[in-house]
Amino acid sequence: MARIDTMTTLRDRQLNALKQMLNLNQTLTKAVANEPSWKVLIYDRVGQDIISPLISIKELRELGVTLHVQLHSDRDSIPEVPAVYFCTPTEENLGRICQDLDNGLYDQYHLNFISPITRQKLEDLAASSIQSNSVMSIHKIFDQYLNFICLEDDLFIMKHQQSDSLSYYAINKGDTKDTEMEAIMDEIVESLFSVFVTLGNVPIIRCSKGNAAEMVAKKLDKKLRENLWDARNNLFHGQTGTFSFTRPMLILLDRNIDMATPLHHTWTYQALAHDVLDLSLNRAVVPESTGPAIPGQKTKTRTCDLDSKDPLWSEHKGSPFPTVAEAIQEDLDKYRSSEAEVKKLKSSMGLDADSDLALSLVSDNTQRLTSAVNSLPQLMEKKRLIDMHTTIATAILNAIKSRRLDSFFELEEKIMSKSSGVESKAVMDLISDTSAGTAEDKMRLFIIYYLCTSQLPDEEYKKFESALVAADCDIKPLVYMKRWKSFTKMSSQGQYEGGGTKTVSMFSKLVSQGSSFVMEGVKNLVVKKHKLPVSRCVEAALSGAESGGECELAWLDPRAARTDASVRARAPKHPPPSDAVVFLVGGGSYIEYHNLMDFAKQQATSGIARKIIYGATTLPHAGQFLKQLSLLGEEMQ
Amino acid sequence: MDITPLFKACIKTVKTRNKAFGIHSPTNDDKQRILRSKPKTGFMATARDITSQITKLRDFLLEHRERYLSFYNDVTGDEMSEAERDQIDTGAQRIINTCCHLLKEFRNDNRKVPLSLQTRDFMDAVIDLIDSYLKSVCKIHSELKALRVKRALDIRKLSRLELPQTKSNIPNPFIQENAPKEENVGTEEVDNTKSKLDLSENEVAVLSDEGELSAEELQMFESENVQLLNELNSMTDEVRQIESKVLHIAELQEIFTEKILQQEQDIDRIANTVVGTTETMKDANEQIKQAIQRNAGLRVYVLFFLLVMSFTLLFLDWYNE
Repeated sequence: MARIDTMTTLRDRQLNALKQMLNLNQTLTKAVANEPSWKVLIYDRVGQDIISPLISIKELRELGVTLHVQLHSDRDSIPEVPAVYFCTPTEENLGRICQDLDNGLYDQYHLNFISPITRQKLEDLAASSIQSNSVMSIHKIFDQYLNFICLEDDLFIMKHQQSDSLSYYAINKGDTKDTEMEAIMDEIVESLFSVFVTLGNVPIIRCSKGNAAEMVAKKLDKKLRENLWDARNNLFHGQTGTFSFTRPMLILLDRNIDMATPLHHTWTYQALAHDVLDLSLNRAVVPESTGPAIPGQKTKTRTCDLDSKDPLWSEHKGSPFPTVAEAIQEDLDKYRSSEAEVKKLKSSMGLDADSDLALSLVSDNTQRLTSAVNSLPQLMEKKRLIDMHTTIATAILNAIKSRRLDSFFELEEKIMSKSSGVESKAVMDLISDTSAGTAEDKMRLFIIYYLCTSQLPDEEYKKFESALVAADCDIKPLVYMKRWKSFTKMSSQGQYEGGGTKTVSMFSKLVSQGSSFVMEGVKNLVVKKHKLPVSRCVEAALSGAESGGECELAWLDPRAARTDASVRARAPKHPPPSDAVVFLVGGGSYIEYHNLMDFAKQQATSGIARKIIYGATTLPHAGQFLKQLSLLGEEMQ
Repeated sequence: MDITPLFKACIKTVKTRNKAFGIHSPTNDDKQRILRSKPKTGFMATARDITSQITKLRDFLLEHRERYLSFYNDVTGDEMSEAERDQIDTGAQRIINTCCHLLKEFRNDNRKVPLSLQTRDFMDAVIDLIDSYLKSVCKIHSELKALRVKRALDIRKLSRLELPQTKSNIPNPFIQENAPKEENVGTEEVDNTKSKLDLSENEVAVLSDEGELSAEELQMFESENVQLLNELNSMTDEVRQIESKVLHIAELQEIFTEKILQQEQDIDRIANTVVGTTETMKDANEQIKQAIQRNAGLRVYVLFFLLVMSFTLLFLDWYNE
């Protein structure tokens, strides 16, 4: 089945929308050598977060943006050039815009609001523009519906800066007032709505019952319904032909479905970068290793951009770490050989100039020379990338070695898969071992152990607690986890089954290659393919089973008429959709993302093409998540 | 989603509301003009100027691109002569140089003016963008030129009638000929063309090569000619011989065919006869078998008769005793 319109991913669509916005909302033409049109881009924090993973500064320059500044900074007046504003319609932003209009900073204003602006605020803006007599300079106002951050082709989060209001802690804390909860839910619904407007499709909603996800689902359903039945400005019009084929399924899940995965130690490249190097908005902060670290002096850091244009990154971001090390080594070898070729060409050119030249030889050499010259910038770029990856990989490797993350990972995989019986002794050993890992690591290991064993006798629990306190750990999360465990009636048996690791003695091959990554002491672990609970739910939902086993999901269809029962009766008869958008309320994790991608690939090889998009309110790394749990535990006491 | 019309509607409502409430918006006559003509700053004017020049150049190049590149167009006489192409080349080069120069001046002028950081960034970026625009237009032009040179090279190669890989005996055109040989025919032409030899550019050397045929080359060509003629003659003779041989073979083959047809008839006859013979033989065999049988039978009867007779005689003899 050939699908023509699913070729553009969410990221492409968002990028297209942004580019069109930057082109002053005129359609982009692809003529040869376009005349440059200059513009100034002004954004607020949310806009900055949205733009930075998608467009680099160089690309902004190419699109004609000569200056990009924050909204709430002091700005100079720049005449004769259109100013493109990209911000959320909050009171303070609008206030600042009105101030700009008053001061007459620019000549043409193109206002693009990330989420739709209310009628009231629009009237206020109109009033103040009349006040300042700048009605004529406001050329266009757009509602962009881009209120989400797209990190990869199929991964999006809601907010980055100022995202504490959406964290797991905020949603689950005991003293959240109703109004606060409503506000949070509204924000989430807003974001999901923009995602679907950008995708251009109305989804079928399935949600897990009885928690925050259900609230979000109901609100989203209402909002989509209102918009669809509003004939005047239906945002999904013009797409009716594609509905029957590509209508995706939105699966809303709550973080409570699986608490162990965000705390799990990771082994894939991207997840490790996220965990160890604080990868956020596709940017990693790598400490430069310049000799031994002198205490009291800040280590120099280097920020590295990791985006999808880098072939090594896009191929290996989901693969286990030793594979990545090998790939970097391979790339380095290839680069060295091409460098040698270019050097050879240089020497051969010098030789040929002495002997008799027939003209044909000259043109042949010029051809080789031009090809070498053309490939030089590519080679430089490659070198830069290899350098960057080497730094990142070395930093990660150092962290793994110093914190013994590989042993943690292995043990956790064993616990979660129950492939071999794990004695509590092994866990105890690792916890009381002072050389292994930070206090957070030990805490994470213990929480996973606690969640995955069905019954932990009390005195064992006390022993562990004392060991943890001895190791300087913060045991407040445990209080919260106890309560959570008693709440969830799902047994954690069989949730993570099928995982596990096997050690492959491949490091001999690595060492013999003279690799710069001396991986002795780091076990070369290969992860067996397994499915996390989230993937399992998604699989059950997509295969059309009414009862998804562990997760009961409710059906909601915004396009259908009111009566719910008829929808539910009709739903199984329809062929289940093949595309899915999975959204986790309360925080997501890169591990789940990679697992879902693997699941989609697996399904693709068995003949069903699926496109799965993973989204979450935020992507906390394990340390942040642990902090939130500890805050929750604290307030329970 | 475009909500500009919505905004305009809002403005109208607010204005009517203001009128209703009696609030007067400050009407500054100075600002009230529809086409607000702010004094255009010198910076933007110059920038726009340079850009428009580059745009003109680009349009010109794109317009004439097709004609420039049509080398083998014999349907419409739309081809450009080399002179026109050179004209375009030099013209474009001149404009590019002027623009480059202007841009450099512009940049230097800007550096001297003290400005705030943001405006400085903005101006630098504007100049950078104009620069990259100029570069892309240059690229169009250089692509055209490169295609033209490549085609010229190919034509030269073809007209030399040599393979590009073999090392030719043609001496290096960079090495000057000192004394033309007297025996060569048409040395005056060679002298004339040599005086036009221009070694400044490699391509020009290539292009001017076609007029220069040095004396040695002439001799070599002549000897090659003679050689080729001889070869061709011998080949013609051989061809004739082969022709006669082929005719002879054809005749022989005809006779051969005739004989074979005769043999075919004979063979047919023989075959039929053989078939008849086989039949006859079969009958003969049958008859001989019968004969033998009858013979055997006759003998049996005779013996039996004799035996019976002898027994009768014996019996009669005994009886008559």
